[in-house]
Amino acid sequence: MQSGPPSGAESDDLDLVRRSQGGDTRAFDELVTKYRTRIYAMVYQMVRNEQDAWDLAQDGFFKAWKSLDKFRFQSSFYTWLYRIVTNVSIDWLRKRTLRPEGEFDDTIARTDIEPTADVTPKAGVSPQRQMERAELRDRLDAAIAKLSPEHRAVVLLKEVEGMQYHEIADAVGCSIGTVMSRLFYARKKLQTLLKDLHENV
Amino acid sequence: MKTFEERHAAWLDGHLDETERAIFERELAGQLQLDPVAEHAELDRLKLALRGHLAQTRMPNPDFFNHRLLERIEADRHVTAPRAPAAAGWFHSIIVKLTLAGATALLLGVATYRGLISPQLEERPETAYLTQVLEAKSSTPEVTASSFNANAKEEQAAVLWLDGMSHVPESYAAADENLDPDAAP
Repeated sequence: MQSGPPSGAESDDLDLVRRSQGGDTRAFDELVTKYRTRIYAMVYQMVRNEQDAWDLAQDGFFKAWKSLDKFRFQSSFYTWLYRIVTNVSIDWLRKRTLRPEGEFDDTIARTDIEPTADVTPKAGVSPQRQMERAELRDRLDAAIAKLSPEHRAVVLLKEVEGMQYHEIADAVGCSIGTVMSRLFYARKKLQTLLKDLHENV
Repeated sequence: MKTFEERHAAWLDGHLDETERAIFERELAGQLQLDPVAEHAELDRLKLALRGHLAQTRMPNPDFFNHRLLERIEADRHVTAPRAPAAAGWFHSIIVKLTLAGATALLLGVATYRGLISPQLEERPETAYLTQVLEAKSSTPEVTASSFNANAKEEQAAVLWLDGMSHVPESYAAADENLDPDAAP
């Protein structure tokens, strides 16, 4: 799990941001390369569709480029970038005509999603175990989809990005207390929805 | 005082000190009838499952992602660059339009005054009368009058006798026939 860039990387980021603010697209390209995977993963978990996630990540980075002159170096670049991308994703989810909860786009290509070590079907894993893991994945997907966009964002930033409360508050634009409260309700909802799976996790 | 939800999140993420943790776990066990150890373990498993499931999503076509983004940025630069003079031209045209509108309104105002309001003022019959009044008022008054005041309390009467006041000259306002109903035609 990643927990944000170290201070050295942060100072590199700030240097790249300064150059980007001066119109240096190559510097911005470096920032994009550095964060595109994490940003895409975050958006993908929010919208659960590859193409939408790709387009929204594009929109997020493009918006960041257009807003670079507003970056005041008061937070890390990646927190600022997450704020933009999270808002883009939440806005998209709100505007979108939602499908019935729990249903997903069948076009999502699962083969393109690299599973983690914990759930990756390794060589020699039995077909039954693979099926169990696929089922677990589906159940988790369905449960996450039932969270509101705001709760989903907070859980993803905490559990996947490993952000601290204040970083999440900065990224989603709310107080630390609200972040903690949203985390509580999101976790309890997931706990309820996945109660029968806990023994298998 | 933090809310229950905030303390629950802090408890699960290990941000409570020993005392706070003990108090909160007593609260969980007492009021909510939950086993704190089991609750913590269950939510820890959930967190692990989420991390395992959600992390490491691979982005399709990452190089094309950068290429496409830089294309958009370049396209935007070309669009916004000519926009600046266009914006200045728009601003300029608005100023010109406002100036022309103001000048036209001023001309119309002057024309209206000259054509309609000013002649009416000149033709008003009160004008000659007013001139005489003003001349009379502005001339030095000729004070030759005397007054006598008598007050009879028992009769409940008061008499004010004025003598020597000049009468209004016959020529007063005679120039304006409209104002003298007794004037000869």
